[in-house]
Amino acid sequence: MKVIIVRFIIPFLLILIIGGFILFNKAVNNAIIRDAFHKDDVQNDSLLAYYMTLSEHPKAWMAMKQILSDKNGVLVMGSSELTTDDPNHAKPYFFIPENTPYHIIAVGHAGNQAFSIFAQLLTLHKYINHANVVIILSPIWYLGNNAKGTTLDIFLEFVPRFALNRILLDKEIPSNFKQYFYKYISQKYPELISPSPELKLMNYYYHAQRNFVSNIAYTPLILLNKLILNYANSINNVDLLDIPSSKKEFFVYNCSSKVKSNISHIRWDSLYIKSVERHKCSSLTNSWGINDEYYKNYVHGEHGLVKVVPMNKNLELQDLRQLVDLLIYYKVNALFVMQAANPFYYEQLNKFRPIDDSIKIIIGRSGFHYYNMLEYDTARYQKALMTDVMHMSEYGWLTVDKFILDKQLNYEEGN
Amino acid sequence: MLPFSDLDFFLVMGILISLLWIFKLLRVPKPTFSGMVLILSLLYLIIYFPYPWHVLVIVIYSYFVYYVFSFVLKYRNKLAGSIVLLLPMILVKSDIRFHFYPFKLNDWISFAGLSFMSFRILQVYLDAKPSDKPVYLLRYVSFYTPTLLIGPIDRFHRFNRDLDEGYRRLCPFRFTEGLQALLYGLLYKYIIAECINRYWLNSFDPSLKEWFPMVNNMYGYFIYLFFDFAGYSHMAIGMAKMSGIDVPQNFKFPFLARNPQDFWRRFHITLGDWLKDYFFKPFYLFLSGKKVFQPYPLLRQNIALFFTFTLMGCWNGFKLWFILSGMLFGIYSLTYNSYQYHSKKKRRDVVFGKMNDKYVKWISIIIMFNLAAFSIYIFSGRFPFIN
Repeated sequence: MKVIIVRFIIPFLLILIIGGFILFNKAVNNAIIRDAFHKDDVQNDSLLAYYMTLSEHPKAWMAMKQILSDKNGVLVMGSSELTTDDPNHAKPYFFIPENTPYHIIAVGHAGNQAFSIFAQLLTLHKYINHANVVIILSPIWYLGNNAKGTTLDIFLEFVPRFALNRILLDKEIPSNFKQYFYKYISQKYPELISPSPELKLMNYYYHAQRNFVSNIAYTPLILLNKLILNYANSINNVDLLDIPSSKKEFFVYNCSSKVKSNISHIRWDSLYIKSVERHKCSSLTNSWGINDEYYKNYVHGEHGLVKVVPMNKNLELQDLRQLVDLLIYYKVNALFVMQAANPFYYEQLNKFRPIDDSIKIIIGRSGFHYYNMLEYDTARYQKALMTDVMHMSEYGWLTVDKFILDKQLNYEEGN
Repeated sequence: MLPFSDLDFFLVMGILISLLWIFKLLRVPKPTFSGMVLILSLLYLIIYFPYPWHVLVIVIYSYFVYYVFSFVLKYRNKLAGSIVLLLPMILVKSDIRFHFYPFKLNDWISFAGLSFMSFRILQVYLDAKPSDKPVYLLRYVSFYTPTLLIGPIDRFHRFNRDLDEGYRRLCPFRFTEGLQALLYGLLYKYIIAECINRYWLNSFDPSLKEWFPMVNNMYGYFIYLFFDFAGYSHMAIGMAKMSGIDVPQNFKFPFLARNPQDFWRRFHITLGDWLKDYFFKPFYLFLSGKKVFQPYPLLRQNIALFFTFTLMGCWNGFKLWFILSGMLFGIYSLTYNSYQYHSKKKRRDVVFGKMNDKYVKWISIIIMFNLAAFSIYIFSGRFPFIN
């Protein structure tokens, strides 16, 4: 009896005590709730026209929700082009609110590619029906390592835990979108350190549906993590989209004194001429139309490689297809912009043509308006379009502004 | 999921161990105990482990080399076979990369980068004699799973004996022993090591070059490493015992070690034993056979000791801090060895003289603790003067 008590009962009691301690200790709980937002964070967060990162600006989620619900609101989603200097306020989130009745916010920075955008819109799916969304694509997304799709760190930065929670638990989201989402998680799962219960469940759900054995093998893990998730949700889970926002808080960048009721007053031709002149002044030392400082620091007369990834291995292309499907399903008033790439620098840009054609087909079948800025012929390329080798200049942005305003009005008129 | 990474792993292991016990209690003749261990090992590897093929590729490759060199070519000299066997590890540790379309070779052999894996692979090969029967491939595969990534370095022959005993290995006594070891492991790893890491080790930036943060980091890391690694080892031992397999002990009060040799009999014991059996002894014998060294037994021992510990450092990776840390342990060992040699020769303690044994013991413990802490501090890569 003594042996049983010492060897079995005491260790068993100890395991309960220690197990309980582990379950309720701070380290484990922090692992469970580590990236949950606190209401204080949201209240202290400033409101901006452009949100570079969603992890540092929880209020961006509320702003996105509001802009998507607003008839005159436009959400611009893109990557590094949104982060470049813009002293003359040509980018849509400055130019359009300053000159028109539209409200705009922009979200993204380098690496915020199609899957990250897909995930953000899936989180906001309740608000995207007939909402105005502009997606700025870059040819660079489909080349080299970028063609592997959104990286895990970018995904985790733009898709916080509450968003994962929503995607996982929301029964209104069609299963094909969920499955695509879960597939991404399961592919990236080995790279995750201390995954949250949401990520674990997504991975397990994906594996469980593969075959009968997997189903049996993953069922206990699913049950365990459902329990943990319920517990985590019960102690701390701030859903940013559930926080009611007062009218006072509503803000998008807006120079109210300048706002006009229509857009006919905008003199595009004179704006274009001025911006092309300014571009000429900034690109004096090279004939490729690249900003002098950038040319001196990074280009030195060398050409960039166009590393084409075969179409069937190009995950970014698959992500775009899925993103377009989502936009079609929710009847989003979406506009697509494909940025140019400097054909002087990218000498072999022609290699990109088959991918470009695929993108045209993917977007074309949806009926969304598409502004393709890519030009392969150096003779026909407008040098003022780009400030460097892959980012738009003031002139480039103005052409995008015009496209947004023209085509958004088109949607409003029901075309 | 990686072993011991989260609660899910313990649930899976609980289920797998329960299956083993259910088969024992049902008294079914098939599958046998070793068959069940293999099935459950493969089940874990293929369904739950994130890189199953990476493990299997290395295991199959090492079995092939073991078989060809030991039973086809029948080489008595093990050097060539060892080099071929360790080739994947050398590629990974030296960061030599090959990108063969459509896969990256380094991804596939990444598992060989774990020195823990290589110790076990090499041991099976070095123990093999051409007169022996080759080990069964399936047993060879299941040898790697009970302690897949971390823990004590088990020996194949010992593991094989456990399997041969069959379901008798599963007994309540061993199970409760395993449960205890698991408990210790949980306590060490998830509570003590976690607290040290959070509240002690992270209290100062490791790059600070002032004496107090450095001393704090040195002791903090040494104690953290013990609880973290001993925690893993205990958990591995515990789970293996609950499944009827006696993986050897790996830690035995290392902070009470009195000298460098004693330290390696208490800290990562299986590594110390491995190096002694498979490198120190053969190397010492090799030196003893050389005429030039024959008149100098102390020199022979010291050279063998120094190279053994330097190799231990290199095995962790070709980083300066690993190599220096190994060399430092080598210097400690040869210094202590010389001290012992001269004490024996002169029949008196050449350092402590006639000091009371109790004092000598505690002074030795304190000195060894600090020396080991310093060497482990360098090993950690946190020593700000070595980058």
